[in-house]
Amino acid sequence: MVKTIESSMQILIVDDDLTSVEILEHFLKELGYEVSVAYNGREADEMIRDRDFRLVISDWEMPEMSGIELCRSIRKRNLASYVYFVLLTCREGKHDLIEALEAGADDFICKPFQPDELRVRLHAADRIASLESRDLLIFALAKLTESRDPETGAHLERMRRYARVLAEQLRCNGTCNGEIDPDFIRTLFLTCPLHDIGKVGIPDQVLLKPGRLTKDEFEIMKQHTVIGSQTLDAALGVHPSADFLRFARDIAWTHHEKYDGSGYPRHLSGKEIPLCGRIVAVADVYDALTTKRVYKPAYSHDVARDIITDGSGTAFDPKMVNAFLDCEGKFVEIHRQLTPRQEPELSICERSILALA
Amino acid sequence: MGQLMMATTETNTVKTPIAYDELAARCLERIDFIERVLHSFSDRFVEDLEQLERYVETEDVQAIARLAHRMKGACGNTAAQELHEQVSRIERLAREDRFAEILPSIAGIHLAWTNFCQAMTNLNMQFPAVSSKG
Repeated sequence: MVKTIESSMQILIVDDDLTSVEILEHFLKELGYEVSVAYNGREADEMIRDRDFRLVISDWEMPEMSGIELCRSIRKRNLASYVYFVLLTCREGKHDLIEALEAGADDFICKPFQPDELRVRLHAADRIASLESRDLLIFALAKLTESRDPETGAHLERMRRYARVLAEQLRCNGTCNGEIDPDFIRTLFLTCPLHDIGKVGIPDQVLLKPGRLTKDEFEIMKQHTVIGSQTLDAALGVHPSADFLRFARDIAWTHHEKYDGSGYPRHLSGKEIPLCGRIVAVADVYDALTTKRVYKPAYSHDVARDIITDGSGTAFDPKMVNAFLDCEGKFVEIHRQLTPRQEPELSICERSILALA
Repeated sequence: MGQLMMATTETNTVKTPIAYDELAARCLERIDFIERVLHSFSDRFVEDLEQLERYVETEDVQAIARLAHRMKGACGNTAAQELHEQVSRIERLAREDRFAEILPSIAGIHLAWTNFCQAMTNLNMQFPAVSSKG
């Protein structure tokens, strides 16, 4: 039984030998790929102009345009998405490999192909193509979030760095049962800017209101956690293997939950709240406290630390608070680096002078 | 030591007309597809061999090299090991411009082709799905 893959990646086979094409096409289709065929480099070059191929598997020696020339032609173009290029050839000398890589090929496989080898190399290609899609998607969504957020883009950058520092400290403390590994930290850093993506669905009169929200307005504002999670969940439904979307959804959904169950939207408590949500909750509150908002001044680090410490076991997971206290110096440094210089607070004397004027 | 032994083993490997297991793996064990590939390969090989002999007659060494290279790819993917070896030899001779040695080598291809056809017949006997259509 052939194990098929979950991939929508379109592959273009380029080879002038019909038998080789027939076997390779059958193999790739059985694996679940969408496959097209060109019989020389020139034909392939034209097909790539018109269609969205993410992977090209090309022979080297062909009439009209060789595989190397095709590869160079693709690399010269400013295509919307990266084309992963594999040379499948009878050539196997080291100088051939170097020439292929210099032309811009990503991989080099000797003919005749070995099924297991080709399968794992295609998985690698798929992963790389997915990484590119993932980073572009996150970047686009983060910019969308930023466009609807009254705070600056620096807020998102600070947030992700606070979250990373906190996760690194938790890993160092060893208090999360090995749940935090380098991949967890990378994914957290990558997806943290999407925590407020649901704000794109909040009306302007609520989202951009200068001053405190009424009770009804606050109920509307709370919906940003639900809207964000539903949006990311829909994307996850289309790409169930995209774990970063699951991670981003959990953050969007749970970063306003509180450890004692008094948060929103689902009143989760303790470990019901995903670890990523508990981490981002601390990062989000710290940033909100230490930066100026339309409804409040910027508090000092000491004040923010006291508020977070007071919230240990109620608003925040005590493990998160302990880790925060262990690395608070790094929070201060990130804040110093990424917060625009604000107008200094006026002294009592200066304020009284202004009041008299 | 281990690498040396491996190299020796590879050098001494006996080439078979059709390495069936290798072909079957590449065709994901689909018997009907294996049959189709073998037949389409055979049809094309006959045409290519005739063309190759025409190039030999006209002493067009570059065309011989190009065609032999393509035939080598087809033989490799079909796991036609003897044919692959013979066609590879022709390609190498053509690229090295050793035309005088090409003509006698053509006989080697014909012998390998005869063995390949015999192996096809044997496969027909061993694999009902093949023989039923054969």
